[in-house]
Amino acid sequence: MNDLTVILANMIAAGTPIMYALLGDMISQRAGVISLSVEGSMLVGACIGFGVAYSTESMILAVIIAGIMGGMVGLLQAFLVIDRKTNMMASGFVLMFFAQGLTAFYGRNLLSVSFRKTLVYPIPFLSELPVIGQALFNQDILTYISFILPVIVWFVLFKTKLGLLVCSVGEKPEVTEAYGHDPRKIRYGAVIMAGVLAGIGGVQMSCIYTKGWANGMINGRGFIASALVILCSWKPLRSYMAAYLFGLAQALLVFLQLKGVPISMYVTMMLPYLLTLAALGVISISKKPSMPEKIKVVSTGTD
Amino acid sequence: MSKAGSEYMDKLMNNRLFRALFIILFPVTVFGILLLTEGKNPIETYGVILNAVFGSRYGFGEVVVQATYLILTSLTAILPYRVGMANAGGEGQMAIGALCTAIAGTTFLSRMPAVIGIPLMMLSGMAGGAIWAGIPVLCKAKFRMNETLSSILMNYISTYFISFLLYGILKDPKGWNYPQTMEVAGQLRFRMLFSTRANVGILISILVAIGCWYILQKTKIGFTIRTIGGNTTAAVYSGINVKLVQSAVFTSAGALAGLAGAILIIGVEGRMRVDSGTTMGFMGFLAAGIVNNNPLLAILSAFLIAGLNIAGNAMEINTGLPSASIQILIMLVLLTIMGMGRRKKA
Repeated sequence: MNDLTVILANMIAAGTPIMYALLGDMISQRAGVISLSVEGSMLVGACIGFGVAYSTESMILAVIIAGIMGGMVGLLQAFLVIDRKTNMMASGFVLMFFAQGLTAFYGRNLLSVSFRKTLVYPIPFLSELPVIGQALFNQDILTYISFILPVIVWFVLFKTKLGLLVCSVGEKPEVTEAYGHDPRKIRYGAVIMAGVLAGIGGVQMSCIYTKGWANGMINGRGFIASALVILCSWKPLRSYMAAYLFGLAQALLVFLQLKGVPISMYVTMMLPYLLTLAALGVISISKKPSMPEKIKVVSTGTD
Repeated sequence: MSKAGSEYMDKLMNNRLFRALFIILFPVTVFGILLLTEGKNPIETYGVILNAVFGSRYGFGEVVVQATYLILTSLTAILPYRVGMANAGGEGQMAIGALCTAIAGTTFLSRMPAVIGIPLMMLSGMAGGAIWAGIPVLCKAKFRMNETLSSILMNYISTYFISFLLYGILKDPKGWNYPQTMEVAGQLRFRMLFSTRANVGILISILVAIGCWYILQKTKIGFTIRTIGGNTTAAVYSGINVKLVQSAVFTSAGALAGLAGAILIIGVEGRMRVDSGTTMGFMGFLAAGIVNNNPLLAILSAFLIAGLNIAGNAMEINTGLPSASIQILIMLVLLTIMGMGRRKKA
């Protein structure tokens, strides 16, 4: 493999878990609820999903269970925000602790094991293309799905009745109600969906990217995904740019270290968070993002 | 549920005694069931927990030590909440405060007598925390960025920034290559009390909490803050410079987290290490949530969480469960309170 292929492959590997959580939270934010809880969902998905994959050797079962568990965290977030009117940022943040506790408890016997099953399915012909072949088309199924997921989310959100309902709840819930739909139920659905997708992102990370479970391994990726939704201006197709920008930054740094460029490991590890912070700043001055009406209140406070 | 049934539930949920019992018993039962499913004896485990906290003078001293930080970091979450903001960055603000205190104490303050040196170290810590909280404030003012999100990101940035310094230029040359700063001079440390590690810091924390309550309830500034917290729009129309007050409160809250960091260094630690004071900022946020952002009650919830944390360590030693499992119990308490909703005024 040449250098470019290595960078591309690392970019995709680091970007994929983010892609799932990012699109999940985008659906939720379109319905007017910021799901910082995707961090907790990813953590639970990564831990429980890895446990299921390790003990049953069935990746399909692992993905289903990870999705369900991630969705449960989403359900908690939905209940706290929608029914209990808790500050959505605070509740999403505290759910991370719940996930940390639960995963430390249930993951304690998974810490020293690793998952050796190969889950890579090269696509015939495409995987033999120069440079991009090995990077893009020699991957696992969840990564292949992530390639088309933004298009699916875009299609569902903007081309189906269900998607329009979700978006209307985030803009003008009165209208949704006037058309005879219950905004509360739609919001619940969207927030749970965010958890499901984030849970799948989590299991992708533990079973395929790191091939093991470590306490707190998500380490803020869910929060970054939440922030990147803003960078995408709530447009699903832009998640390619956001998730892979994040992935590329990580891939480049890994690459530079492999080549022996003297950068402190800690600076390298800090950069994704700095980059996210900087990206949020840039997007806010470059133009007015098309923020869902119900999120403006949270995001800007007074105005 | 039938109408009579749901009315009965409402009435029950409004009963103070029932609420208190429910908040204690529900999490304890659920956590107990969780322990049972993993083959641990819940009664034995709760025995370990109680014994860790009340069983020895040293154990209780450790609870006091942690409560010292948690009172301050809970105020770090409470004050911004009162002006309609959520500061989730207490962890980073406390860490940077501790770092600044350690730097000050090992460099330009190292030869000072205690009366000058210790207050100046505390000020350094508070300045560090305030600067770290000031970044999300600036981001909000300049770029209209949500302060919760940016303060969370700042937590991660602080962790790696501190590691970068401790493995690099700040590493103690005589520290056997451990990632830690030099040690603060002996005269610049708090004395330990009652042969535990507790120190005068707990008094400082409690006084600060009482001070915050007094300012909020009895002063003009407090009235302004409560007006903003009650209804931001109305506060704008009544001519209050809401953004200025919000920024000032958020930054001051960071200073309190920094003070927690300062007490950590001057008190127990004596030098900055990579893991000095970790999770105390996060747990402060939970302590604030448990008492619905009341600064006086935060003293109690800080002690509660400190006790559970110390118990978590004992649990790890005695039952083999990871100490972080205790976070489940802490969170169950918080989620029960959040899930029940506030008590309706009759």
